Amino acid sequence: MILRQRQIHVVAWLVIPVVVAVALWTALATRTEVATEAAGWATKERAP
Amino acid sequence: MSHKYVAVAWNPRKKAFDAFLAAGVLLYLAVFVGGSLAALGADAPSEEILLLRGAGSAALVLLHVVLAIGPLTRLDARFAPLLYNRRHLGVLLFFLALVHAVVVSITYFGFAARDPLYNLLSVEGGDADGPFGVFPLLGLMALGALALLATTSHDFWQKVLGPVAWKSIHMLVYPAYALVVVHVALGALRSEHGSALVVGLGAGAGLLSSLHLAAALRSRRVDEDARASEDDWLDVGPAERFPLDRARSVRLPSGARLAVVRHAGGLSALHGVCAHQAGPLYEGRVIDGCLTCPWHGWQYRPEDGRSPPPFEERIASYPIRVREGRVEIREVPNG
Repeated sequence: MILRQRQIHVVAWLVIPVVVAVALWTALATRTEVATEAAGWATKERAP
Repeated sequence: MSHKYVAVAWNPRKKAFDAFLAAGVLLYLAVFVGGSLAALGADAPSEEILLLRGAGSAALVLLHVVLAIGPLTRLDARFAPLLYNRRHLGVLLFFLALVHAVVVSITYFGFAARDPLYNLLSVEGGDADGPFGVFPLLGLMALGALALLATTSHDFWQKVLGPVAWKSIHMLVYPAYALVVVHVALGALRSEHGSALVVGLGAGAGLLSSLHLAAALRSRRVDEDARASEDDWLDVGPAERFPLDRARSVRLPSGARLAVVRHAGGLSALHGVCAHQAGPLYEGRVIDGCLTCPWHGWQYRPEDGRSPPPFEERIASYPIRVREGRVEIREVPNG
């Protein structure tokens, strides 16, 4: 059981950098689409 | 270690650590909000948005710290005091994530023109009134995982669940970390033009991954492999290879690892995995006459594998002898 947890641990830390790289790449690739509304998001007034 | 179950007590060191931690987080939030208001002036976002970003970024930094402590301790024992206080860091990061989620809910969901539930569950991108895409849902899932980890970060739950089940639950921190990073990447990162967050997230993930893989590689290293000698005895190497008061790892043919240690009373061979959190007892040292786990300090007498009174834990001990200058052990533990 302990051995299996160690293997999961190693696989997790091999997979996580790939997930992070894909997430960063996706975010950067779609950044310009949302950049224009970003200012609106950040300073959005509360609805009454 | 336990005699009967006793809740973990606060002690002056834990109180000092928590006070230092709380002061550090408050200072960070004050600098984040105050500094942003001062630097951006009229262009600064509202206080609520600065608070949710401050709490979120503090939780993200703490999550990296929490995940780095384990491998750092495996690589260098000087980091062990941080491991001792890691649970408090984890609970604090959950509360920061909760503050982030509550302020987000009020600011973006509670006052949005559209139904908050629709905004949360819809993966479609919308306008400033929502929906906001998939990233809030990822954040909510991560928050759920962190909540489970925080509520079970207590010796009571470890006692009830057992070390293996408890550890299995706490491995949820890996998917939680991945969810948090994707949440930040698809959320805050896309709404910013600067590259600091991209570099920070990439470097953080790269550093954590490197540390964990380096620690895993190191823990794969075995000091000695046990080889068949004569009768039921296994040869584990020359006696002079076992230093005083420091365990060496020995791998049995079955794959199990033992902690072989030379101490004042001679040589002993004990089960290599601590009964507390399955820590590497084979990397331990003899302190006060007991083999001590490097993770949380649980102790076992080298002679019989029993914890010193009043504690009742016991791990297996194995027959060991020195013959013609070589250490030999048996694979079947002592009764």
